Amino acid sequence: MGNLIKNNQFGQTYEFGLNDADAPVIPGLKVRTLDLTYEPEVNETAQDGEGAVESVTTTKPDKRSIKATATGYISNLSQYRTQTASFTFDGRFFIIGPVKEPRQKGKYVEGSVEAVSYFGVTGA
Amino acid sequence: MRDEALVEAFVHDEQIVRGERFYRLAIAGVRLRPYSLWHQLLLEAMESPLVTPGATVAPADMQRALAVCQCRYPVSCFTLPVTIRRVWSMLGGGFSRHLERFEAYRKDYISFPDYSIWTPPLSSGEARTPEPDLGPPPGILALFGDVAQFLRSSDPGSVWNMALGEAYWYRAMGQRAQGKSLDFMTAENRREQATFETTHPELHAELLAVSEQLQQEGI
Repeated sequence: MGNLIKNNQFGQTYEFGLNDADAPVIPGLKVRTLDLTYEPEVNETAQDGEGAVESVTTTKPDKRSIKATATGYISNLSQYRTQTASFTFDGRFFIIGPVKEPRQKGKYVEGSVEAVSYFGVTGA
Repeated sequence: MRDEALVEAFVHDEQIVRGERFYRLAIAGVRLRPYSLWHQLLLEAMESPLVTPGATVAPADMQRALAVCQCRYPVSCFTLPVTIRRVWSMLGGGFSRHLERFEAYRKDYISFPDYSIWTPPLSSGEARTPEPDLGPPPGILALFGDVAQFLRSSDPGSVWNMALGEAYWYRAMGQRAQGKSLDFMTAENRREQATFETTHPELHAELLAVSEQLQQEGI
């Protein structure tokens, strides 16, 4: 699971060693940190006849969607740039979205991808 | 935590002579001023092999470089008075010793910040607007301009005579002041990367190859 360095009601941050077997497998990227942020998938209100909110429907905590940012060193530039994949972490299925531009970080090149996980989507 | 690169850029091995700063060790009897943007410009102007990686340096090149590094903006000096003692000291092993000292002298003033500028990720389907293909200004002049603007200096001499490493750090701070998000390498990052070379040699080679590929692409 990596090293949990932040944990609160909004999310968690994990840190991984280089080539850590527990790190999410993302093509072309050796993930070093994974930042997770939770948010309810559903957050709807119902109003009475006068427009006042009389009920709220929100996602249960264990079914919230998770936004993830995975950051690490790029090991294969073309694989990194053409991300179409997904990954699983802690039993959740993440769909990879925006990919950040590679940038020099000391001797290596750092990259970062954003992903999202919905409770009901468990595979491709 | 102490940042070696920052300390190297601002703390030097110097002495004060008649109220002026000089590098502590004289080379071939020549007292050298802090290695500055002005020195870099002059050495580039004369295409000195001392600022060309891999070039062969002759004793005459060293003499000219010593002449350059003893002057201050706006004075351009390319020659030293010929003395038997100096000519003698450039012969045989003396020359390679001078070369080593000169490299140590430049290194004392050239310590660059290691950082990158953060750009927000693209949303899916979004394309970054390409920058127009404009001819860039000469590198050393661009650095001069960035530092002068950041320091709001109206005295060109104060920037031209600034140590080269310091100027690069001020440029970085200028970019930060313009609102750019800078991501600096910390001492801990450096130490960590240095250990990967021995703990993960194969992966280290792969990661370095990516870095070279990116540099070839000019990013």
